Amino acid sequence: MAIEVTMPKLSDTMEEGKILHWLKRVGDPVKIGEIIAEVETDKANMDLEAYDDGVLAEVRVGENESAPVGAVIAVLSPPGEAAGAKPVAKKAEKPAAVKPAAQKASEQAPAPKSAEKPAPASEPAGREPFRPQVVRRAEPAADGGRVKASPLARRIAEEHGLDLSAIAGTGPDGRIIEKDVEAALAAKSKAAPADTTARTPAAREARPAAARAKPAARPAPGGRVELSRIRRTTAKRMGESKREVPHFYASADIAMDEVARLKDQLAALGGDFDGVTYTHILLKAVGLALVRVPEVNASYDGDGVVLHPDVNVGMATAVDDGLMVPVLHHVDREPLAAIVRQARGLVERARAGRFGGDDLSGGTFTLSNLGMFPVSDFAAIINQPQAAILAVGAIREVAVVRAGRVEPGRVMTVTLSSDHRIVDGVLAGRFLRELKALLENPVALLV
Amino acid sequence: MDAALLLGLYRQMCLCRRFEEAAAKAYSQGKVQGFLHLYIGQEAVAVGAISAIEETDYIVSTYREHAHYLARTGDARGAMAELFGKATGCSGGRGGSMHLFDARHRFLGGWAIVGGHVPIAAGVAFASKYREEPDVTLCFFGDGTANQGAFHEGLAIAAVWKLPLVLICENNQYAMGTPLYRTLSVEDVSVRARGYPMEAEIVNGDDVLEMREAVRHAVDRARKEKLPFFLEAKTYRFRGHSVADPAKYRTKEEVQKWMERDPIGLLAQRIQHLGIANEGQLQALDEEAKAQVQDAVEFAEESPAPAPETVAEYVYA
Amino acid sequence: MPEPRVITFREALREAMVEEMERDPSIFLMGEEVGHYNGAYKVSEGMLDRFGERRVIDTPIAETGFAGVGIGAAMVGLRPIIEFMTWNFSLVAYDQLVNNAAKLRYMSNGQFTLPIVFRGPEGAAHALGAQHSQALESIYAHIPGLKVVVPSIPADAKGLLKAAIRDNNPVIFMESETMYSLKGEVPAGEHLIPLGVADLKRPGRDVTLVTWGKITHTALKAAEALAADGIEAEVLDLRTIRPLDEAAILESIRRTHRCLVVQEGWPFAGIAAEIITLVAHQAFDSLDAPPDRVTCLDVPMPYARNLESLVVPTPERVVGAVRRLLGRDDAPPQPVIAVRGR
Repeated sequence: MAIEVTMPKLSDTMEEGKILHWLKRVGDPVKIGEIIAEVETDKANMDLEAYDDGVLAEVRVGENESAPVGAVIAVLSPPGEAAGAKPVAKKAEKPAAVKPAAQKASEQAPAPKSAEKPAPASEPAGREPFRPQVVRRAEPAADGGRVKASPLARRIAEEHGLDLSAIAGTGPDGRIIEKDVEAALAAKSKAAPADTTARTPAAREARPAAARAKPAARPAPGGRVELSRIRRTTAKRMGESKREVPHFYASADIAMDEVARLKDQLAALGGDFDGVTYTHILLKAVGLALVRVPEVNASYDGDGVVLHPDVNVGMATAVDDGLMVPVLHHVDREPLAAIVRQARGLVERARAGRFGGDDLSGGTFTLSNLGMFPVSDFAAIINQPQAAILAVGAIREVAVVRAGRVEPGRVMTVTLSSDHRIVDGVLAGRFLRELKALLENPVALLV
Repeated sequence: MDAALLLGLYRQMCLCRRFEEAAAKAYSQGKVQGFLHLYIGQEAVAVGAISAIEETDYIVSTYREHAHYLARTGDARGAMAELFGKATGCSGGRGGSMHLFDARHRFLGGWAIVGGHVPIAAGVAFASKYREEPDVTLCFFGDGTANQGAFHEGLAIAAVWKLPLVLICENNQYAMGTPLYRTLSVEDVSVRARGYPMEAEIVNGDDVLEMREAVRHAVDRARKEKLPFFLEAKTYRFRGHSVADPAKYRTKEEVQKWMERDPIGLLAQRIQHLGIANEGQLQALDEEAKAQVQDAVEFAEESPAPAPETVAEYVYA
Repeated sequence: MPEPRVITFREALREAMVEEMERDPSIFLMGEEVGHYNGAYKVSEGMLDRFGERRVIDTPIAETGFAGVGIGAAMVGLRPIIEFMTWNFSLVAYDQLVNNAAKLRYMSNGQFTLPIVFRGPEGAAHALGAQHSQALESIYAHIPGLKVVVPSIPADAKGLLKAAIRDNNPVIFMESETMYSLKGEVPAGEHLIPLGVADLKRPGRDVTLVTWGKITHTALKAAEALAADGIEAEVLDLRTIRPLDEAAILESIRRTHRCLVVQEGWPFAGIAAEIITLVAHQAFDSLDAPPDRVTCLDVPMPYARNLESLVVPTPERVVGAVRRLLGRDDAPPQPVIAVRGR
């Protein structure tokens, strides 16, 4: 018996829905509760859950096509029955407006009448195999099942990018509990820094997108460009942050004459310092300032402030299809030369679309630099759950007054956006005071 | 006989009757919801009793209390708005038909568990005695209450502590839909009062003047001697237990017989017989009452519903 | 600060009532044998002599009657203290408490306040049998409009009872026969403890025992035993069940990461269930183990002492539950006796 999948009523006023994406293809097995499609209703884009187990036998309403509530949009064959075993009499499918040619081809080749050839095999070679996107926070799986871990252990693991499936639980029934995660963390800090896989949501979201490295489509005037997954994630996170986090902003003008001199001297040294940039020096200065004002190197977790033991600063970086925040680790402890090296490696991997290891995880603070543009100052949106982000403008030649005399000087304006739930104006002020002191007298950055 | 008094009683009884007729109509239109227990046919009890007491005396009543409320407060708007579930209702729309309250007029409810309010009334009387205040408490209840434990405990305490409490049993012959002879082992509820002991009297509850005189006597004794007093008013409910009750358990003939002694009709006859007013003048009073009720309905309809954000108010002080 | 003295729980309650009655003539005490008999458990001993029959009032055995009288008196401005000889007897007055006391203010749109305290002992004492051994706070705490207070030590008993008497709401105040002779330091004179504030009876870092009333002492004994084994149990005495000090519970659980509710009374739809819901919802990411509870077994109280001691929570059962919570290998298994009645 075929099981009909109908267009569900997903809002009180919904009359019809549009299939945005099928997350399953004909021949894919489907489990109860699995998301099989994304549906656009009059209110929102909603996940369409399967209410039955089975195999997707037929898609009646293609992507970007609409159907009224209650209409059959797909047919499942019961589990065990081969897909396409029952030829479906009605073939109501109309070609959708926009479809990749390959997909169209596959759909124009109807399921064969004989049951011998399952649908997936009819997929033309060369078509990118469908991979379901993980949209929800996925529980790390071990042996195909759910890893047993206490909520606390889960939280700590997530904060530190630890893979729970790699940890042995010592709690009742093998549950991973706090002390197991702490032990794993201790072991990790002894071992090589890149031996664990990043598991932050950002990393999970970003990696497949980066791996695909699709060239960004340049929008034609009047046209509409579908957001990439990474751009969508960025859009979602930025919206959430601006909505949820009470931002406030504090700016400071910093004399950059000494930093400019230092940069030239370092560049002249070459070697490790080959290609040193203002950003590298800024990263180091920010790292040290964060050590001096650790309350800014923090996160708000709903009930408290998490003061991060490490100082890992992310650099907001534009990539082809969106915004990424590769992270430089331990910028407080690493010497400037190492930071230059780390940053260079990151940039290379970013260009290749191949971030790995901890590249995208563990950030505790973010730096956004638009100094390469004629931007004098700007305010950035906090990268949740971090407490603050520093927006850096261009270094400008200005007239400065020193000891009563007007002189030419180089000034850069930085603006700290802070989460006011945990960072107060005084803290922001102290952080900027430290940063200014470090940059105006940058010898400390070399120590 | 005081002409103004009689006309006043007549107008009050008309107000009660017209109010409840309008409430029943509003109920049929879905404007009043929940339970609606009508008092039609019993108006002489409430109006006569309450006309006999001081403004500072207390009243504690049941879920069939529209007439008691109106006789005490005259506030048809507040009562109707309460039935409509509006913010301007005498209980802010939180009480409904069964829970009318007016602290300023010492109208202490509006209680809807049969008999549960009898000890409360005893407590109010206790407070008067405790504070050595002269006030008396009137407690109204129906004949069905006579089998409830709380009724007996209230009477037992009122008797042993000699509380200034006047208990008024409105015997309308039916405990909800069951005739009294099937549920009560005695013919008159008042015989039960004697066992506590407590002075008891049976009154014609359809005669507003007899009711008034009996209550005046009882309240007087309660006030002066700090003693409870039990009055059983024999009367009849013209409608069902609630508007949802078709009252099939009574014969048409029985209802007809009682309606012939409609308390409002009886009073009208007396007024005309005494030459205090003619039919046209009485009709004018009735029209006045109708207009007041119509005003109350309009007021209730136009009033706002309670603000949703107030739903959690007044759970605690 | 008044100097603390050591007095009994019973004396602390009496002091609270006497001090409040001397302060405010609208307060009176009413109940079975509170006057001439000097109180079934001697809580009101001497109060009749002090205040006379007008204010210390013996009642008939008619809980519905005198509970209702208290409500009526409170409606018009008096401040009654109604003593139930035990809370088991309050069940015949349940209608008064639930339908009348709890709802008056709401039904009347705030026209009336009801400053009244219902107090008396509850829970298991010693072999009193099924009808006299019930811990009933959950059924009263279920009702919006009532406050529920269950103190565990004399000082709290005094401070909370004084606050309850001054409260403008109906307050259910629950004591215990077995605690009346319990001694403790109590400040002399004015000593008020606000309702709704929990008290940390013992700090710890490994697990929070959330408890109240008499069973607080069971939890404290268990904590003592656990300490000998290197397990630091925190004992949080709620003192007031409604309003519940949610912040104190969550604050503690977020520190210890483990929650065990230790209560008298039955498990089904009990207060532990309410607290665990709170913790699971509000402190989910702080939990290192599923929250658990130790309660009375789900049976009426048997008379025989050996059976009774099986039903009531003991320090041993608390210790066992904590060890299971911590995943100790040597933790005893869940008691085999049916937690659910059959």
